[in-house]
Formats: sequence, C-alpha cells, structure tokens
Amino acid sequence: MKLIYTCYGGSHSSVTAAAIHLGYLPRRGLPAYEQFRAVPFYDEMDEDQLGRWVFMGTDEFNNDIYICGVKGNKDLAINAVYSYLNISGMAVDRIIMVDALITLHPLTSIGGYVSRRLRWVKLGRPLSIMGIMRTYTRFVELVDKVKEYEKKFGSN
Amino acid sequence: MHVGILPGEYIPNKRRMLSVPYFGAKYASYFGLFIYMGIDEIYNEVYILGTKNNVSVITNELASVDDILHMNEGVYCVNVSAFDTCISLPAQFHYMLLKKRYNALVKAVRHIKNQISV
Repeated sequence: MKLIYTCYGGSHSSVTAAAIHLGYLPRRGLPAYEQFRAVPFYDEMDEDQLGRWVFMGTDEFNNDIYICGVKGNKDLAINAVYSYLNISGMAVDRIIMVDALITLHPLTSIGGYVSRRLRWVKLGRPLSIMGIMRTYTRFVELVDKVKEYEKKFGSN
Repeated sequence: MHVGILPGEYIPNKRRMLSVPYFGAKYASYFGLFIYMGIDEIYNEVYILGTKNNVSVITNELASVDDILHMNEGVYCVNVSAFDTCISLPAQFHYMLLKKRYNALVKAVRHIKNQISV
C-alpha cells in the first residue's frame, strides 16, 4: 500500500507527519530545532514540484510513505488520483491519501510563505518550525490514527 | 471535436454545440473526475477533467501515480484552459465565446492528434 501525506506546499505539515510516521522525529516529547533541520525534504519543495509524490521511506507495516503538495485543492487532487485509478482498472485501496494540513499553525503558514515564496529561508524556516512545534502533539495524534488504520486494514 | 462529436471543418450551430454532453456544465462535484467522452480513430480513450487553476499540480500528480504504480497507461494531458473562461457563465455565452475561438481550437486538436499518432 502507498500512503501519501498531503498539505498545501508539501514542505512542512506533510513532511512533519511523514517524519513522525517513519521515526525520523520522536512520537514522545518535542524534537529539537536541529532535528527538524535534519528531516529530509523539510522546507525544500519548489512550486514546480507541487503534485509530485516524493518518497520518504517504508514503515514497519511495509507500506511506502510519500509526501505531496496539492495547493489548496485537496479534494480535487484526491478525486483526480482515485478517478484515474478507477478508469485504469486499478484497486483504489492501494492508495491512502491523508490530509496533514489540519494541524496548520499561523506561524507555519507565514514561515512557509516567507521561505518558499519570498525565498527568505533564514527567516521563514525557523518561523515554520516554531509553528510546527506548537502543534506537534496534533501531528502525533494524526499519525497515531493513521497507524491504527494500517494495523486494521493496511499492512502489506 | 477530438472524438467526432463536433465537426472540424465548419463552426457548428448553437443547438449542436449545446447538445454536446457536459458542455457549459461546471459543477463542483465534477472537479478532479475523469469524464469519458469517447474513443478517437486510433483507439485512444478521450476524457475531460476539470482542474480549476491547478493543471500543473494535477499533471504532476498523475505522472507520479503512473510512475510509482508502474501503470504505463500513457496518459497524455492537454491543457485547453486558454479556450475557456475562468468565470461561470450560462452555456449560451460559452457558445458565443467558443464560436470566435473555434478555428484556433480546431488547429489545437489537429496538433494534438498529430502528436499522439507519432
């Protein structure tokens, strides 16, 4: 099964959720600033890469974990994928798309905009990390829910 | 036009244009859904897909799905937004606007057919 965490820009929320899922970031306690910096693809997705599925790793259930930036139209992006699988005769349950944007903090939005759009990384990246840290427990809760689903239905 | 519902030789009248399935329909529930229109002369299935202003995001996404799932479906996305309006109008207005751009659309469809037949 392929599990895709989606968010607006594919740089912060989805990367954080995928990193917690794969154990790059801890599920207990708040990670240090440097730990965020070490997460692959954190604050790195460019505008022309939006929509692409970026592989982050394989979890303990042998499911492949990806991240994807879908701008503000997650329903459109999800519909397009499932509709495409449908017309191609593929099993739609091979793909699970998870919205990681539910936990967005305003500081993350501002930091993401400053870093990715204005290219002022030195200011934007720390702001985005501060925002993520303030909602970190919600990311952990989201990942816990996803893992519960995997335990029930989704192991390969 | 690609599947022969509309002619490529002359501008169809209003009645014929408005009778094309889904013409002028912009329902939110259709966005992101592949809608089957027919098969062309070299057996390619032709679909329409509403993407709002996110053509590149959706194109990237479909390419990723194709690649990661090894589908090799050979999906060919053609952006025809330039012939459309970004605001919702009654079908009659769409007909009036499309009538003016019809010859350009004919050329675009011919170009696409040449590309996919190579």
